[in-house]
Amino acid sequence: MNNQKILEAKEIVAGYNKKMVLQGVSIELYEKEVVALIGPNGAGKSTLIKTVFGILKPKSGKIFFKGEDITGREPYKNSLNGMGYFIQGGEVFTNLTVMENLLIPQYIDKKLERENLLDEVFSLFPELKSLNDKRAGILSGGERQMLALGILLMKKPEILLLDEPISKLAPIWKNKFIEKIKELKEKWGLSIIFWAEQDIPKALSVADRVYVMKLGKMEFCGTPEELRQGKKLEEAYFK
Amino acid sequence: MMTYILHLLVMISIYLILAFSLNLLVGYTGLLSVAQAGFYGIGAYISTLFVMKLGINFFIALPISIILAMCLSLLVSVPSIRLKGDYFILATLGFQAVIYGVLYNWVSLTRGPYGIPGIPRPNFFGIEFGNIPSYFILSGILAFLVFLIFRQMVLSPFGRTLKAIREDEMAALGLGKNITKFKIISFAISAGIAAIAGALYAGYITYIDPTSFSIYESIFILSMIIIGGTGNIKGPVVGVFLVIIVPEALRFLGLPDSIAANARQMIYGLLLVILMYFRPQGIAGEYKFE
Amino acid sequence: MTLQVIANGLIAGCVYALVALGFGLIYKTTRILHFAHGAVYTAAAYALYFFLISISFPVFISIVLALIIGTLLGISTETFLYYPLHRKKAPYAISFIASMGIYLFLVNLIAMLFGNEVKIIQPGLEKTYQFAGIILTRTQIIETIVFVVVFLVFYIFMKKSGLGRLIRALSNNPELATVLGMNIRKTRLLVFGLGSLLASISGLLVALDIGIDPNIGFSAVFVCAVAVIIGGIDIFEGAVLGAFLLGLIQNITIWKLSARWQEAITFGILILFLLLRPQGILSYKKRMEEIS
Repeated sequence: MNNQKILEAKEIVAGYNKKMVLQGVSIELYEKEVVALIGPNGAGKSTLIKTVFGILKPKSGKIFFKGEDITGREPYKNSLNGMGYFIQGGEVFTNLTVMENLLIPQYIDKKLERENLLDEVFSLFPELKSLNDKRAGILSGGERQMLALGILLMKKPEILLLDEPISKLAPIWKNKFIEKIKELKEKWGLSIIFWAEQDIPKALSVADRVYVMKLGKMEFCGTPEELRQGKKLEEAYFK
Repeated sequence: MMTYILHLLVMISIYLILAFSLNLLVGYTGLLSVAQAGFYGIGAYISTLFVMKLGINFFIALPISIILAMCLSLLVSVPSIRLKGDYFILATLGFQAVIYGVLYNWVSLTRGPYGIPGIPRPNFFGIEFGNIPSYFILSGILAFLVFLIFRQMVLSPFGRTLKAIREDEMAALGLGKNITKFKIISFAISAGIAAIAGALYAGYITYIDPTSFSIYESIFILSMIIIGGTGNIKGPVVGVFLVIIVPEALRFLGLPDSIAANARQMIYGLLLVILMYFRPQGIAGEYKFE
Repeated sequence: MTLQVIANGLIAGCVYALVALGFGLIYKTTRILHFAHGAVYTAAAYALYFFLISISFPVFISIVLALIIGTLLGISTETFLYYPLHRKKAPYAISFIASMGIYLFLVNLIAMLFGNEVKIIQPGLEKTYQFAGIILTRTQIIETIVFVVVFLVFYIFMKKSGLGRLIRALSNNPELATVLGMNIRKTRLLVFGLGSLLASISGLLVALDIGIDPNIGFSAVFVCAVAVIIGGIDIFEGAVLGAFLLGLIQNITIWKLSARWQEAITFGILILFLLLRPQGILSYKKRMEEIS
């Protein structure tokens, strides 16, 4: 990898209440790459993403972002620091218009006003432009997820953590979303990590590297090609 | 001196009944209500009106007021019990204000702010509970009965279901329990028991007026079980004794009465805040309102 | 006569609307049943009495000081109580009970300092004016004007300003707001400041109108509770509608039946709403699951 490592989680043990879902997993994310996290139910994919973002505090292990130790840091601080976290299902502010939704990051951080990101977001999501002044509450599922992603991008994040972004979408929207992820890496230069439980082919089609998890442990790390050639995927899902 | 102590014990028995009634609702069913004084007042006024206007014996008027209070409770519970907790509180707040308003304004029935004086002492087949020691026996017996009923209820399947609902509504739903029905029944029982306390109070003080049944009284009853603790049997008992005895003891330290009432409420207020922050389960309780 | 009753009802609604709007704003954004809102209302009223009557400060200064005291009091409840509880992830019941505790403490403190009897700021009969067959007192006119101005400013702030949108965003989706990096603490403080200011304005209007006693706070809280349920909490303006309805209902009841039926009728209407449209009048259709 010629790119810099931008995110690293080392030996994370984390979970909810007394149940430690993650039993010591490590993961890396480099600049300008897309990483997919896959695995069956209960593997800990969502738990890992949430821990990296700070929603969950790890019992042990460390997290580094841009070289800095951010273990246990508050989510909103990570957010202000350049992490964009996509909530599962695609959350938006349903009482505000699409435009107002997109401008919220600017109201939070006035410095963003200078960046003129709105045009770039609209060119990425032309669907949203026509919905500009509609209340976000009336958007369809797919439109809403686009908007959720759009709002994140208005924050000018450096990395995106997507908490299962595609399973709840209708098939057309799934493809669209995958396309957007590709575009975000290529045109925007973002590093993206996302997880999926189903839709494996789609996930692999856009990922540069993939991690396979099972029951709180990392079973495989490598390129989609290497995964297809090996047996790890079947072992994770069917054993 | 003896009379004074017996008087305290009568008040303690009345408040024990109230405390158990609210504990059933708050500590076991997980429903926060500020309308308890309303049902307390309903019990007091209904039993009084039946005794004085219709000449019915106290011991027959008592069950009538219990039943009427339970029926009136449906006015609140049926529309609002399925709503989220904070909405439910608002509904009980509305109900409390309404009861107070009706008691205060329906002058032809309740004599409004003038109150109803000269309430006769209860009479059981010729035995009149005319003096304080005998009234203590009456109130003590009723309080003990309520305690037994309460204990029986919480140990029974009904009580366990309530506890399950309190702890995890979704799980209880999964077990096929009709949550709404249980909550409504629990609310009704709570109202009925509070009415008993009301009837006792009326027969004891022999004078009632709406101010004894205001929102402040509701908050007072709530404070008692919160300070003592909810969700178990000893919590409310601790609460009642503490809240009634300590101020009386302080009285001997010589605070002038006019500011004593205000000072006392200030202390309750402060206690509530401190407890909620540091120890929501109260001194001897179990339930932390989660 | 009907017009007079309606006018009286709407003007009463103006005063209710301000305090209910504050309550609704706080409730919708923080999910806290701010019972102590009534104490802020009472404190502002008594502060006005103190500055204006007790130590004879000029009117304008008294008003400003009273408003500042009320607003600061409301903000303190957030800083010292609600936010710490929020950080501990306390359930709503705990915040509510603590709020009642604050109410008890403050209202009784006021009673100790000022006495329990009713205090009047404007004694005697008032100047009245006639418009199109309706008679209005000077205070009523002031109440109407104050409401209209305050509501307009509030509405524009909420709809058009960045801060207003942040508040509306927070009340709609706190999780998303946090994830986007919003400073929740500061936004909540702003909300409590605004809400308490509204309550204080309302308290001052009431002080000028009928006089005050330490218990006016509870009637205010009752109004807030009913207004929020009737009007819906999806948008803040719902509480305003509920407040006006309440004012109208009360006045029409007094006129057609008599004062004693006010609460009963109000409650009857409340029950109807809870049964048929628990999300209130102005809410977007909510599923039962979302409020139960």
